[in-house]
Amino acid sequence: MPNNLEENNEGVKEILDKTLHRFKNNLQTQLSLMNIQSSTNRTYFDDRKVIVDRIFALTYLYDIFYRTNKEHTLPSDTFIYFQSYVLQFLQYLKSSTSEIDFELTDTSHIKADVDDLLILAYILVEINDFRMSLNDRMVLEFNHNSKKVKLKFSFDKIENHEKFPDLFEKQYKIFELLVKQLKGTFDYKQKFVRLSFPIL
Amino acid sequence: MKTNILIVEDDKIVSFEIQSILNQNGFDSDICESYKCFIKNLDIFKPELVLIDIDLNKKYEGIQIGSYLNSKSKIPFIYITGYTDLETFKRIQTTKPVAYLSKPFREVDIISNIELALYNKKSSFDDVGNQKAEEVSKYSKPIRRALEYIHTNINQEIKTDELIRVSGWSRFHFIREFGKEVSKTPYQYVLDEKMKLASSKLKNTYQTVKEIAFDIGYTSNSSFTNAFVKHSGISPSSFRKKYCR
Repeated sequence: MPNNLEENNEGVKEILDKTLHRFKNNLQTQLSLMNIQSSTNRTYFDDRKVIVDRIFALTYLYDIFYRTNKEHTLPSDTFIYFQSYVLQFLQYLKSSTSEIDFELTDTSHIKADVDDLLILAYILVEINDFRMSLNDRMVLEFNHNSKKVKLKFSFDKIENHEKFPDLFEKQYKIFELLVKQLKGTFDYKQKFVRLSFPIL
Repeated sequence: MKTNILIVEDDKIVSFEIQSILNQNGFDSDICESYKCFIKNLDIFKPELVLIDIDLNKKYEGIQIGSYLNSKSKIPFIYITGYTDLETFKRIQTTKPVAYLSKPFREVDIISNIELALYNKKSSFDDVGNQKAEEVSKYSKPIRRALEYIHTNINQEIKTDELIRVSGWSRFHFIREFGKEVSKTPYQYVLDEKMKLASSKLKNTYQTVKEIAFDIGYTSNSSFTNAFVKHSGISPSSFRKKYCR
């Protein structure tokens, strides 16, 4: 019994260390995004909303991570359910506008790493700011195969999405960095833009 | 000519930010994302300083890079990481980085640490150039070996027995000769050098007192504070308040 207790304490200590480390990295990412914004003169339609959205992306992530592991004595990895997180964050984004439609195929059994999901949420924040600057309506569609999550997005007012990067040329750096961070690829079609992320 | 700094960081957002900071401050930089890429770039880019993230690819690959630099080159390096636990401190200490930056960091943290590291590197080279001839005649070979050992291992606990071993003399002879040539006991010399380094870090960096204590080979904050007070007559935090720029 005392040995078990000791092992448990060691485990808790290790998890606290890892959580602190991850949290500091998450804060560094938030800070870096703000600094890159000013160094690249990235103008957002609504700076304040972007920062608030990123904070909520982080909050939901830790909420779900906590809930996922609540029943276990000690969590053994940093994976959470993809669908729970993405759904919660999309509903949060939708709560401030009726101009977002989304479709999410059943991914209830799929888990992804918390760090990757956070970057995915930041990508959604960028896309949503593109939408606001166009004062437009957008459709998001999530699909997946065994290894990749595919996100298709389109805007009503854009006739040819192949020109999407040119349209947002000056605002593209952060979006591009976030996609690259997830080792994602861009696919520009006339009707939509598709991003593929090997995060599963 | 601009100073070349190599950034070893697998987070694209953080590495891009560091690169922007370096460019704005007149440095040239290149980015690597792994140990393999670092080895490949070392001879091509010829950096004068390396910034290393410890947690590369979710492994401790950064420490591997630190060890490589410590054993095979004289290029100073700075760790940047979110780790602040004691075990990691102990691990990185052995690789002798010139500084340690904790995430999240600010522009001023990066630049002041880089400037300090480059300044120290330059002065040590100047010192080597100017003093080499002087030192050769000033100290005997065994004492020179002991002094070299002290400077190389200043980040660790240095025992007199180890200095005696390095000198090749007997205990009695070493201590007597050290006193004659250096005008201090070995213990006093080591303490003075450690406190000199600690004072410089307190003045010129934003490292916490605890981090500085570990950097110069103390295993506890209180033993460092006691030694510092005894040596300088003032606590490390009061010293920082008094002299911080």
